[in-house]
Amino acid sequence: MSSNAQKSLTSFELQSFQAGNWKIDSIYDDKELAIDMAKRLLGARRATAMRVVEERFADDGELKSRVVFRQSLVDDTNAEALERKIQVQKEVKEARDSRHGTGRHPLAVAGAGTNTTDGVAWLFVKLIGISAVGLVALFVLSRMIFHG
Amino acid sequence: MLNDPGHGQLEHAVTSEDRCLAANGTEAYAGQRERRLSLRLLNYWRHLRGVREFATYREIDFGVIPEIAPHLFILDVSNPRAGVPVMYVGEEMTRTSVPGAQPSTIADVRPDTLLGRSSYYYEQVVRRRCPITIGGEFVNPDGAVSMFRSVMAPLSDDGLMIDAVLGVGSCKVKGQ
Repeated sequence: MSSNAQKSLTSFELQSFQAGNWKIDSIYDDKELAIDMAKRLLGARRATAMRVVEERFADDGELKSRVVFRQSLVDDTNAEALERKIQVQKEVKEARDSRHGTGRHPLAVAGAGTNTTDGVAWLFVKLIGISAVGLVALFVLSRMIFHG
Repeated sequence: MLNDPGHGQLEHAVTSEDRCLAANGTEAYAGQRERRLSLRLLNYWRHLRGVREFATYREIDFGVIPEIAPHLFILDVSNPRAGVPVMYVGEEMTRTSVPGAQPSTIADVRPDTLLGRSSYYYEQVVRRRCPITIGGEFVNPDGAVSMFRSVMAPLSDDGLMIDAVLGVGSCKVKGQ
């Protein structure tokens, strides 16, 4: 079928969504004109949703329809919300990866674990000191008891 | 379903738009700055009807559409079996289509003129009850191939029966 003949059997219905139903607004033989008008009406808030439906007679004579354009006023809002959601998920993942990379527990106290060796040494010193004091005390007591 | 065999890419650009805007640059109706004639008429038609389904031809204010009026035509389709009177034809449309005499009915209009090509599908407009725009080519009486685009929109007094059709058309000789 020639291009011109194909075009003669094709029309584009511009439809607006009103009161829960799609209603024909106007009919075009040019898809770009129809889409242009749809965008203009949406931009002017003349409709909450618009779509362009291509109607074409197939070779077998059957009328076939398909939506070639569809947009609503909430599409932009939904797109922004989706973009924000993706960004937040990305930031959470990056923060999680950063924590796992350093080997630190998320609830770990800042500074803890970096001075383990020093802590053990000071514990040993304290143990020796306490033991020495205890031995001295025992010696003094024993002298007091045996020599009166 | 539209049956025009061709497809015109041309769209007349209304170059006198600035003259038609108010002194402070505001539009008399939404979309008056649209350059394409057919879309501009559609914008005016939507402005006329407001929240109703159709406008009535009595409300057409030619003072608001001086840039469209020369290309305009209005058909009375209230009783098509008795003929379709031509209620109005703009001067530019007249010059290109019916020089010499205003046609009384659409049957008096030659099909190989801009008015003839712009108005032949009025029955589809009445049946579909919505504006229809088509483009295409035709060989004018001078033998030159012209590309055209037209649009027709339904009008109704009672909001039920389509009694008139508002249309506009523009053309350009191919290759010019």
